[in-house]
Amino acid sequence: MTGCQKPGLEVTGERADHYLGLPGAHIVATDALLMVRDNLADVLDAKAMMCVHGGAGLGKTLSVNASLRDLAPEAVCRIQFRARPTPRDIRHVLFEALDIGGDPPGKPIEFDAVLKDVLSQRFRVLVCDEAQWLSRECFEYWRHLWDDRRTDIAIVFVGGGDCYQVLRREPMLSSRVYVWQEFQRLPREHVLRVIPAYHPVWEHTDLEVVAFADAHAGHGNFRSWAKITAHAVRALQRLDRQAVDREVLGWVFSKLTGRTA
Amino acid sequence: MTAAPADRQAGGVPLLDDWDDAPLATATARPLPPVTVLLDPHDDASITAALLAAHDPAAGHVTVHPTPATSSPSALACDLLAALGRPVARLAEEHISGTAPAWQAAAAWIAGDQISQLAVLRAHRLALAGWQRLLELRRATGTRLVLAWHDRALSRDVTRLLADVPHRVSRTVADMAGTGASMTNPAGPSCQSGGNEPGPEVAAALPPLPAADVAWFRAEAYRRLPAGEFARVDAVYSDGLNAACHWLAGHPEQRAAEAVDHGHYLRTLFPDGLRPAEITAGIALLEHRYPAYALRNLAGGLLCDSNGKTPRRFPMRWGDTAALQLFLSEMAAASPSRRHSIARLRGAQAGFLLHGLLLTLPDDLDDADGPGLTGLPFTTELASCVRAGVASPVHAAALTAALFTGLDPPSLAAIPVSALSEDGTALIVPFLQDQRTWPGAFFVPKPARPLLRAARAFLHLRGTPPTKPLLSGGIGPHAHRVTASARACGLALPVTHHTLAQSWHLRADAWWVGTALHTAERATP
Repeated sequence: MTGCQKPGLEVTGERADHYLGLPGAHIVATDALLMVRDNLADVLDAKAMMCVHGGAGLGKTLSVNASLRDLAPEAVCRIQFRARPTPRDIRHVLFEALDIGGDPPGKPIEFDAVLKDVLSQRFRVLVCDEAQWLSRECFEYWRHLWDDRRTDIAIVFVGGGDCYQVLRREPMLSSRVYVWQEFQRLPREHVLRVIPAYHPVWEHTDLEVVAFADAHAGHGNFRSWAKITAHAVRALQRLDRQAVDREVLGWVFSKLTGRTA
Repeated sequence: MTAAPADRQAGGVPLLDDWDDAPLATATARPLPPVTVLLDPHDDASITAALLAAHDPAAGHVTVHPTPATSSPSALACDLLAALGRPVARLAEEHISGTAPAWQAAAAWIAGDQISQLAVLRAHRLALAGWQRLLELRRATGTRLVLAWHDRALSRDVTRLLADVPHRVSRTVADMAGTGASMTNPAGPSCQSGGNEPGPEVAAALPPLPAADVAWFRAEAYRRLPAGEFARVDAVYSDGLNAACHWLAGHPEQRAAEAVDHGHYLRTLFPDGLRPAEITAGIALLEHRYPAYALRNLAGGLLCDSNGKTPRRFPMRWGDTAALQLFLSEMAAASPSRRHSIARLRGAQAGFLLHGLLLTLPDDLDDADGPGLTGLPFTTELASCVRAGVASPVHAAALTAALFTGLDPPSLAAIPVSALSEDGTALIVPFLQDQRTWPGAFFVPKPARPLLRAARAFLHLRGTPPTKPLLSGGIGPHAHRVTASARACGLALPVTHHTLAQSWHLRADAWWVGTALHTAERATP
């Protein structure tokens, strides 16, 4: 049994940050993660806005979550939308995320007054994931909350795809985002350095095998590496092997691509 | 910076059909300041922050931060009311949730609170109807309107809308009041700052007071109370005495009485037709040859005029009843407790006696109702409670009047709009008693004035004639509205059944009973 989980189901804490909730996976100190931690410390200090952007699976959310777990564990309020939200959706998601209780007010102005009251009680970091899906109206709403003199918040936008372009289009955010940080694919030399520390299955693996895996499936992307790792763990059990080699990788690639190597 | 031609209502902003045109047009006599459009092409956070920091209703500066994702004029009116500190959750309950009444309420509060600058953020996102309402609001209240346009250039629609409105386009937030460069309130002193709270030396709690009229009150207090308690009572008593002396010294009737008393009584010894200089010379001769007491006896004997000391006849009723009621209600309204009011009133009676006046107060003063004797004094804090708990100007004024007058709801509901003096300092309500109409004057405490002015402005905007009731809309059948307002503010409504005529200060009277021992010259520092 691998213990892999659907994201967000019955996996909490640090493990939940990992794609598939991969058991045994470690958070590895990539340059990007270290920079996120430094940047977040500055943003929290300034109670400002930050934008973390980059392609899917590069470790943005994990880095932000892991850093905030250290920097401000009690202050974090994570908000994620599954589809293109409206300001009304944001209000309701915030209402739930802040655990306000009772029935949400009907009128937007009354709703906002309740949210602002709660957001003024103590400092909070609002983490808005998948920010590339937000409309101008939604950004206007975040700005409204942030500009309010009573609220005591920092906002971290995390997004993939064209998140950077979307946020840059909004002058209101350009003047308010304190730090922009882009996540990129891990270069091969970084992969060779961090993957052995990422999971025990790679700890004693030949680096040439790791490089082969990255070249054909990993591509410097942590989400891909999480899938490779999960399949590699299962493959070792199925094939009764002690270490990952090219044959094990072949089994893994067949699962990933649906074709035999 | 650009300038537009003078305001032309007919060709400019379309008039809004659910506002009454005539009352709006006359709502302000001051020249309208031009609209300021603050251009913020980069949507700079510091500009928004500066305008939000300038928000200070007590200084007359209000900044509105419109709710995102709303575009209706009624939502903008709610934003205005919220920025003014009013509870928008109560609009429906107070019957001002409709677009027109909500805007009228906002305009009334701006007028009542003397808001000199209204800044509206995110103006580039407002619907044109919102702009039209804001321009109408400016015309109705005379407030300086600042519209922050956080985009590169004005839209074509807005440019067209402003064509007939005097305006200027600014790029610096330092031009706005309250943003650091300018901290003054051109409309004058704060409407909320200050009040008529007593000084700390007379605000300490008082012991039970003797139930005695002015002649024995102080002596009884001295006999019955420990030295420390008597000192506290005496401080309040003296405060009332000094207030009475000060007030009488400046009152025209007192000055006229003194002029009569001090006009030379020997003047009547001389026949008509003499020149003033001859009379003066004759008086000087008499005074030179005879002692003063002999001259007074002479005048008394020759002229059969009492003892010759004064041409006035006593007792004589004090003529300015309304002013007396205002003075008494003002003095009592400033008291922190019923005991303070009574001690102060007894002191005032003593002060009146020093000026030759017998101030009669109701025999049941210790149990009577009315200003200063019913409920709490109407302080700035109490006014803040009302502002935060009630959104409708009429509802707020009704609760305010109930608190500072202590009148029963039917009496409050009958007070006409015209009863409020122009400056909002007095409510003068005629009432019938013994088949005569008497003036019933209530001093309006300073923190209550903006609330009453706002109610008047609201009714004015709705075209209500001055003869119609000022507060009845906020009282409601069986007082349920004013009771609900009090509950919303967390206040206890005074339980009172006394009518206007039963108010203690309307049953007070004053009579001239002698010449003043304490003249204006001595009373005035």
